[in-house]
Amino acid sequence: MATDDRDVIDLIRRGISGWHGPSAKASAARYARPATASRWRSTAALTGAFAALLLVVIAMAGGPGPVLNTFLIAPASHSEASPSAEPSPSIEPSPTPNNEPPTPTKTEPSPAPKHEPTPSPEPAHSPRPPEPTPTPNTK
Amino acid sequence: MNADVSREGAVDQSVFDDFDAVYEAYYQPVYRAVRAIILDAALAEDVTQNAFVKAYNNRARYRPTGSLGGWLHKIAVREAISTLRWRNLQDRLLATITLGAHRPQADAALGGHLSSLLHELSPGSRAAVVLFYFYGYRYREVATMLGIPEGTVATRIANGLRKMRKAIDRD
Repeated sequence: MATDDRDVIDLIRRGISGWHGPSAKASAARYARPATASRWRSTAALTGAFAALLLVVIAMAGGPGPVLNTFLIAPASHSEASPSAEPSPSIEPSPTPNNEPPTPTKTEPSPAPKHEPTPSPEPAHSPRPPEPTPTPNTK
Repeated sequence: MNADVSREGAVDQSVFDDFDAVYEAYYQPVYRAVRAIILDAALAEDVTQNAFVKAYNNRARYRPTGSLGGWLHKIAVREAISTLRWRNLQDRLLATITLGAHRPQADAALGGHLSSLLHELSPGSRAAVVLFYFYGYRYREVATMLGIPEGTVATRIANGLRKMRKAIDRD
């Protein structure tokens, strides 16, 4: 027996008329329900999206092994390689610009004693100024 | 019928001066429309609240040329469809990852036979059928509310009614 459209429409009207919200009073209904459920949903969806992304990455990489290699072993190898690479350029440029400052800093102690004697003789040779005495010779 | 409340004539914008009165007058009609689309009593409460909050925040955009009920229904129906889309996306994600964990579908136990029948339709069709047959809006008004052409509204209503009829016959 086929149902008439009027029956369906009547069912819609009667059914929806029977639905009532919790309260029509603004003061009673507003914020009456905690929003924890929707928060839980969004948190679960975000977690799920992240997990799905991770699964896709693992699947595309061909399994968890390559992914672990990429994230764990590769950085380790980079960290090993980077120091070897870093020192070489650091040494190369550093000698040119830094050689001057570092060498003095490192050699400060060594030249200091060298300079100490040199200045010390200077005052010792301070009598040299008398050399200008030859200036009169120039005259 | 509460639908009469939503079909009242033009309302002066000063009606928003007492928004609590608007809320109490239109809460049930708006809630029914939202619930008929969402088919979840608890979520429908949340969506109805959000719709009223949006209506209050956008009250300056309301033009007294139309009915206040129609304007509120438009906001609520769009909010309901948008919420349902987001919820379906969440469901798909959860179903993909988890392991088949499935959220309970329509609250057939609470809403009775009508909920299970409406569940046969898409959210857009549900909205069109409910707005047309329960609230008595015209094709043009429903089309404006849903943001679709009138022809699409007519198609959705006809297809929706046919699907519900088939579901009744099947049962």
